[in-house]
Amino acid sequence: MKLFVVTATNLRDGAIRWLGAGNIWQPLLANAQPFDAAGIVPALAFGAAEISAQRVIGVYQVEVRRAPDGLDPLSTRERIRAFGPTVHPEFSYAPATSGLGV
Amino acid sequence: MDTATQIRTPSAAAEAGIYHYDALDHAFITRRVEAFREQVQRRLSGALSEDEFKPLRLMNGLYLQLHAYMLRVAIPYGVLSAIQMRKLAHVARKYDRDYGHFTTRQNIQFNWIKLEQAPDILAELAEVDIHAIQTSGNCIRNVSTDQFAGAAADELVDPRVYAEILRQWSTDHPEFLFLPRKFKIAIIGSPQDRAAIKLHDIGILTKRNAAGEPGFTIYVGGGLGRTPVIGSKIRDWLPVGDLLRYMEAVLRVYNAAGRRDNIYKARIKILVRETGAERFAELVEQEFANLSGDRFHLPAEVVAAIQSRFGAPDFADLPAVSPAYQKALAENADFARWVSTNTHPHRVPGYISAVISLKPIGGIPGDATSAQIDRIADLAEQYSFGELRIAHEQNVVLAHVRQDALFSLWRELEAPGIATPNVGLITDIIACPGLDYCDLANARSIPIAQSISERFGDLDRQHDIGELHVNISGCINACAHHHVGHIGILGVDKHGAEAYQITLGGTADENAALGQLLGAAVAADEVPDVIEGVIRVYLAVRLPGELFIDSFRRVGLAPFKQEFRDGQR
Repeated sequence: MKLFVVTATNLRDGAIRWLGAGNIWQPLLANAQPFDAAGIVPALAFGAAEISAQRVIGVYQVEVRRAPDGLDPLSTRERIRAFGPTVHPEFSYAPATSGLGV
Repeated sequence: MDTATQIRTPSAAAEAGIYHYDALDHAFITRRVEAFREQVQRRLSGALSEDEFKPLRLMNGLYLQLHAYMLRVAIPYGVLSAIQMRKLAHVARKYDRDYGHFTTRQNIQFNWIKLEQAPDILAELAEVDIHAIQTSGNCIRNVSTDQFAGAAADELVDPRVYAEILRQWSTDHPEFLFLPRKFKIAIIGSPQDRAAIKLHDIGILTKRNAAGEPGFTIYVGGGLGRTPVIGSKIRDWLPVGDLLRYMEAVLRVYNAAGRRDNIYKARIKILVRETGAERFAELVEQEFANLSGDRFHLPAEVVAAIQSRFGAPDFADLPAVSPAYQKALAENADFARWVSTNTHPHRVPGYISAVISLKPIGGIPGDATSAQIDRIADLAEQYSFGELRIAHEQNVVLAHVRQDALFSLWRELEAPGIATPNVGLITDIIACPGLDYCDLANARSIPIAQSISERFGDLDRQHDIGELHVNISGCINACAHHHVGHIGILGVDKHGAEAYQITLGGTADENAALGQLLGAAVAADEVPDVIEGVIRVYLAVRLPGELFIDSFRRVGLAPFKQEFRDGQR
């Protein structure tokens, strides 16, 4: 079964956000709520409403898989968004103990 | 407004090498900051949608990248003062993550900017005459030039005065703010092209006629990206007085006939190619004739007034050869090695231009911490009349250093980690931010640059290899000019994975040429080995003293391709 999460960019500071449980935007992918193909539809609708409310921009879905350390995006681009630029480990978004990264 | 009034006649005395704003300039950028502050407030309040706001933020240099907003700050023709440099360090420290990234168009980018702080940043930059206007959008971008302008021994005409005239002409030009696509102009005043003029929408070669008068040769339709094209010469001689009239004519023809229905076919290079350079030149000449009269004439007194605002450095009367400098060269091999790559001959006896490499072995090309930026500003004040240049190769130039002070300068570069003697060598890699930051990229650039730099980091080895330009772009937009690298590397998306196409034989100089494809794209971890194979072939075929590019031109692609095929088996 394919798994998805919803991501966006925070309007005020441009930081990456992930839609978590209870429709709360989270800064870390680790706290994102995974959805199946059916569940992602209302989640994206919520994201569209958040755009209208001027809280976030650029809402879209990202396909992920479950890895031993947590959710892991399939594409390199989204892994870099989720875990930080690979050339600055000090800016990593993932916990230091996590094996996730690009 | 006619040209004579649009380009303001300056009055104040200037410091060395820096064009100084007058009250009108200050008022203009202050108004722009306040207008942008209001636009940001309207965006945050919801009065403006993202679609409405995006073109406004882009016109002020504010992009949205993978991790945050990115602010691209203009450094007009790459020249700035120590005071301005320190302000960039301050922005990096206060508003970003303590570093900045110098770009291939002589600008600087800050990667971790908050929208709500952007107006404050622009206000702080305006205090020292810096702005981010027209660093994005479909308008005329920052005019770029030779990093040794006004200093180079081979220079015929100082191009900075004309770059400044073009800056004033193009800034907020009401007719050219919404062109079919972005528009880049480069100008050079030396026969050796260090500004890649044939790879710009308009390339200007400044030269002198038999009477010694300055004038221009004009190229149009150069560019890289998805469709790389070497520019075509459309005017061999253009008198100074007609510079703006001719620029108006080129831009008008492009603005009217350039395609707006397809972003990939909207650059002037496509129009020139589809029209034919000869026919395009005729259209420009027709428009040029229609613009006759005083309105677009560039008066000599305006040129002289602009020139006067740059202020000449107070050069000392020195012998052509400094005994102290010669002694240091003879006694210190490390210094001599640094001099062999990181300096350029100066037009004034006893002076030399020094290039500070922002390419430490294994480092990120073009990045500098706030501490390094501050230190470079200090050194500029101490050694080069308080003036600096950003090279399109992503290094920093102190243009006017006394030869007898060069050893002392070199020793001061070590502590801040900016003494790498590699300018023009295989580790002086030009790289875009790539997929680590850029929303458009398909693949990462910086880690590839780092892996090549580490592989070839041994100084003896890279000096033995000699001059060799490596350019790495993370996508087809070619911000790192990979098409014209001696070795060009293009990141592509191959079935969802990063892969890299390699080209050989490109050059960005007066003999501009596009690289030829070596073979199929390879994985990231294979790139250093492929480059190793290229170097192996070069070292095997080169004649005594022959540079990589000359060997490549002599033997062609075939032996390199064979080595690549053998390596892939």
